[in-house]
Amino acid sequence: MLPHLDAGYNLARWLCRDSDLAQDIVQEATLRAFRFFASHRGGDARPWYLRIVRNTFISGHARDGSGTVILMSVLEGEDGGSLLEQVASPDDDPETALARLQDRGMMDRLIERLPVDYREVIVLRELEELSYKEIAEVAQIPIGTVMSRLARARRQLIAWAREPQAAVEARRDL
Amino acid sequence: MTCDEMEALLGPALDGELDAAHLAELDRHVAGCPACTAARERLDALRRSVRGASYHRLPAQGRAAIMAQLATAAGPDLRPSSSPPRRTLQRRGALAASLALALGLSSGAGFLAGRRSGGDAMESVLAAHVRGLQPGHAIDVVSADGHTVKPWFDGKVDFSPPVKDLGDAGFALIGGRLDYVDRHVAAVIVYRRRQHQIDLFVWPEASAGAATATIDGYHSRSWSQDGFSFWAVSDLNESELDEFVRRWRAA
Repeated sequence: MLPHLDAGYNLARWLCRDSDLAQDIVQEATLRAFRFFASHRGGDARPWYLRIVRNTFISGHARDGSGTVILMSVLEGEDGGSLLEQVASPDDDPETALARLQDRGMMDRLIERLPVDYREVIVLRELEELSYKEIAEVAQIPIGTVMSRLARARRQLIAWAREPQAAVEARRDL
Repeated sequence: MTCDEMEALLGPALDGELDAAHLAELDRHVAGCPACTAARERLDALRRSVRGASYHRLPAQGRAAIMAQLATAAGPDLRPSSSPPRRTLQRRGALAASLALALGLSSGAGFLAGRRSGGDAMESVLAAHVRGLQPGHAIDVVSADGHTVKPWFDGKVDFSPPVKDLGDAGFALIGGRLDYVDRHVAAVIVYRRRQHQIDLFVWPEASAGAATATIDGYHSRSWSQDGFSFWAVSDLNESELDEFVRRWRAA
């Protein structure tokens, strides 16, 4: 699993949002993976390893820096509605709205703001570039759930992107 | 289908998960539907933004801690003892084998010395190699002449990759291309032996470790030489790939 250490750390870091904690998670997960390697029945080792990282996070480290337990959460109704309902005003083309996010720090903050189970599928899809099937394996959810979480996470990100100020305030409410 | 039904397909289409029939239907619909066109553009723009988000790489000390921990984990069974019972010996062998497997190496020896993130590079190089095997992607400059291939890279990369003619050794130079692997712009020098393509990836890097890896039937060898990092990747058998590397390094 050594070729996948960066992937494991990236996932852990996005899930727990803390660098030190993420290193602990990866260390523990890698040791687990090493011990359980006999249970790996071929196939691509990366989803298998990421699943162990993810389970390590859930079982022992599903806490943020302040010690609050982060539960698997639902994205509340305000996810911006259907993509079709996000009608652009004539002077606000999608490029402009999303161009504001080209600032990496801003995009990072918006992704971090997503509930963890939505953040997870976005990170696995966009940063690790896993297929739906692989994401389903890592997160242990049906492929249909992968699709619906991805769709909602994307709608939410677009909605926030189009109203960056509202997004910042939403953050304060969390 | 309605716009709402089409909208649900935009994400899977973007993700390359939509079957051809639905994809064709979606494309036809979007072409005539401004609302769906706008929705697709928003998704495309979002993807570009999200893919620009931070990719967190494991800090060096974290990597070192994991290496040390793995070495310790394997330690008690690998430590010599005065009169090891047979069972321990067998376990030792099994553990060593499982360690080698777990580390993703075809040979477990020597990984702890200087194979930092070689796996990532390997996967990246392999992906680039396979991409290069697709029709129309293999070669940007087609030439069996090193004096044509080498200058082609001038102005395209900010280094001058060594290009060697190994025709006498049975490795025909067929050209070169540019690629992007493991966050490097790489010059790729393309050779052929029989029907096998050998891609030699080159980028400036002072001290990369040597590595050997096999993934999905592709073999790779990497080494450092003259201030460059080299990765040779091919589906050629290992002994001939080794010969290629030997000839290349000696040439």
